Amino acid sequence: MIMEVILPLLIAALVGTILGVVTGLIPGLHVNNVAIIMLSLSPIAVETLGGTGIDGSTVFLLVAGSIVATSMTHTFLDFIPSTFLGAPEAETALSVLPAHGMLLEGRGYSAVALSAVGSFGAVVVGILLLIPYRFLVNEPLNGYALLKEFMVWVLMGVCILMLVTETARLPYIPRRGDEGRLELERGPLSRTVGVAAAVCLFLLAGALGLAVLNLPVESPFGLPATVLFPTLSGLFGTSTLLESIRGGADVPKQYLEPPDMKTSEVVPSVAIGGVAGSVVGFLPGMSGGVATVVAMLFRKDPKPTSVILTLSAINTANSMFVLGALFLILRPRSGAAIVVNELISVSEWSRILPPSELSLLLICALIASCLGFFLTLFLGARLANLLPRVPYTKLAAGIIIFIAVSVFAFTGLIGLLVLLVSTSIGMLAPLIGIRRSHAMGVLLLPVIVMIW
Amino acid sequence: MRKFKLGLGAVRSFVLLFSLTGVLILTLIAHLSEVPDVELKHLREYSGETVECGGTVIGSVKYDSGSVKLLIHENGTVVELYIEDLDDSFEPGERLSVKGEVYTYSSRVGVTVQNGRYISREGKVPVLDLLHGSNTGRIYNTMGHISRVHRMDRGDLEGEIIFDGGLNRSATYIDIDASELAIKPRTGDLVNVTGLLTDKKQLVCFGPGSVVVLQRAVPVEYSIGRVVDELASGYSELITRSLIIECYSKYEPMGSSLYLSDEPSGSDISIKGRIDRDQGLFIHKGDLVRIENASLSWEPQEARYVLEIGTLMLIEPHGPWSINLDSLSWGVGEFEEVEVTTTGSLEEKGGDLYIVDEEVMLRVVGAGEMELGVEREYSGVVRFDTGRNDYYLDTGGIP
Repeated sequence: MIMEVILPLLIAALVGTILGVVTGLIPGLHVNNVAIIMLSLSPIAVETLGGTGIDGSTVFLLVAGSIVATSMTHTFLDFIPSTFLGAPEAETALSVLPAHGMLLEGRGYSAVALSAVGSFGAVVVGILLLIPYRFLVNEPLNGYALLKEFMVWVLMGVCILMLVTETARLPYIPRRGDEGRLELERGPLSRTVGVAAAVCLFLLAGALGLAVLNLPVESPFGLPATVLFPTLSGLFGTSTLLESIRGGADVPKQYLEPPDMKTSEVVPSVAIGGVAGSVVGFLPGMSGGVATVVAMLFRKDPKPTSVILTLSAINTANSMFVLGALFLILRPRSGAAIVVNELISVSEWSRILPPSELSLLLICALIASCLGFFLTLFLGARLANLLPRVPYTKLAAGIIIFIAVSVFAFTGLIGLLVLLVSTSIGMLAPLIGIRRSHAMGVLLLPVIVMIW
Repeated sequence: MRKFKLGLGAVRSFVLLFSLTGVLILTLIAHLSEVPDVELKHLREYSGETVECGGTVIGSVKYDSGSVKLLIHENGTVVELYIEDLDDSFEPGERLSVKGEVYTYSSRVGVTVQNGRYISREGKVPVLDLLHGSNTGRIYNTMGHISRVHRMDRGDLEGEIIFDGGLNRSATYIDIDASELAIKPRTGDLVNVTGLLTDKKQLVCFGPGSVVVLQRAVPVEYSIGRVVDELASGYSELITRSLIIECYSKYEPMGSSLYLSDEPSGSDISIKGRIDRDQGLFIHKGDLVRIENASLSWEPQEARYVLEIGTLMLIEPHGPWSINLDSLSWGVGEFEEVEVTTTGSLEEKGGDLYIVDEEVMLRVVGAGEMELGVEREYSGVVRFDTGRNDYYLDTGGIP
């Protein structure tokens, strides 16, 4: 038994974890890219492991387990570049802002540790939710069909809520300043102007999203290209870094202190994140970024620590429930899930307990989550020690150059243009004084248009 | 040296202007890089290229791998769409617009679409239920009887069946991919079909739900006389039945045609039957045969009904035919490979023996010991000698 199942499963989870560390730490390298490579290499694995007495279908299951482990570990580790380098992916885009703030307060490691706690908490929440979801999504409640039917209205409601809850009060009444220059001051309609500015940013980002999703990006080196990489890096990464450089910020000494967490803060943050991420796992065209916007609407004036906990939980729960969706509604909702679907014979989860294949994949996910948790803390601490020794302006400039080079490598010249424009749009929010999260219109608007 | 510093207002204006211009430029690039919108009839010219095209769904097949094959049409052109990954399903009559790569193989043209993101629904055309010959290019969902099945029973994956859906007497051909059907339709079945009526009056059906057998035909045992009687009395229901008849081959089968009657010879009541050429090779004049899975179809050129024969079995070969050499206007050719008896006197000419009746002569071979000049009855099988290009009677030692 140990030799036949448990040991190969452990090895598969370990391989997946290592790959997840690689994809998580390198901005622009997505789990989907690795999953496709693993799919193409799976026949070689069958041939190689055939000599050890493991049959073909088990090998395919082990490869699928590795992909699941990669996917889970990635959601732990990808917070590190988001925090220290300001290079987000769709799922971590909004987390850059509070994490970056904590970095500038010397609490970068705490941000990373909070993220690891949020992600691991989501795994626990996910396991608790898994069986209730079986009944909620499928027979007898059939919640999936209902949710799908009203999805467009739900999304539009989310957007409206996000925009009208903008609290910035912007000046709009012109007056002459002390030096005789024309200046603006606040008036009774300042909050309305703030909401109007949020709507404009949302629409501008949405227009960017609609344009870039139809762009023919191609890597000059034949690498897998995704236009979301330059778009989100620009909106939430390089724009933040440029803003830091403009403001003359410096990375202070980083303290390797455990984060200050209260149970009353952790439990609701992780629970909201876990639920939001799990729901999005079932819906077509939805990413963790959309779940993030939804989840944040439930938090009134959230502290950065709560935001990080919630967003990390969403990210990991989303990845876990994409796997659940594959077995519950037989629909692959991510690139990695598509590959898993190709590798194994997915049978619908129609009884109370999960099918054996899902159980084995969940074991891989659990192993990867445990390893991912400790690896995130370990690597986060190493980077936190390293970062203050480097001048921040030079570091930020270096990171911007690194992102630009990565963008060129993955998406070519058009990708660079996208990076420039999205960086510019990303800078608008702090320049105007509104929340940068409205730039999530880059995903929300195209999704609404697509499913309308 | 004076330090150059931009004010917040200037930075804000510059960033806003750059953002707007950038989005416009990117939208323009996206627009310019749009793929060509191609009509289905011109798709073949774009083989290997990515295009946008659209059409109305005729039918679909979903495979275990998650991929889906759809058949769509536009202005009489039908192409297949191969969608590599699709959660959704499409119904006949839905109008789609898709983006994908064009492929061609042999006479087929198709478009490979990566997933559902590259498909947009553009409404649904009404599906008609009353088959009408003039309303071509429309999707029909209609009911009727199968009046003939052609090629399907020989295990071909693709085939056609003839369907009587009420188009007066001009039957509608259904072009189907039989491999995708749950049950193979048989002659006389009551079916519900969904497909596109082409201008050739062909109903193109595709997918598991395109031909649904509502009621299996119950075969009925008939005689030729009863078939002819009922046709004459206008008993129209007969044309939708699957028939079983035991009868005689009235003449030697010619190609795919043979004439059937209730008596081995002498009866004027007969009906033309149509068979696969191969099936007729072992049937001869006068043989008692059993035909199954037969149905009547109207032959407009000859203004009569013809029996379309699904299965033809030989029950009993006919015994020797009594022939009169003198009265055979077309010679013995029609009795080739048939056992006959004839009367005449034996004469020798040029080293060969001949049976002579009046002035008509038939060469005889293998007659054993025969007496010249004596008139008597001879039995044997009429055969054709390819070397000498004539017929002879092979007595096979029969005296």
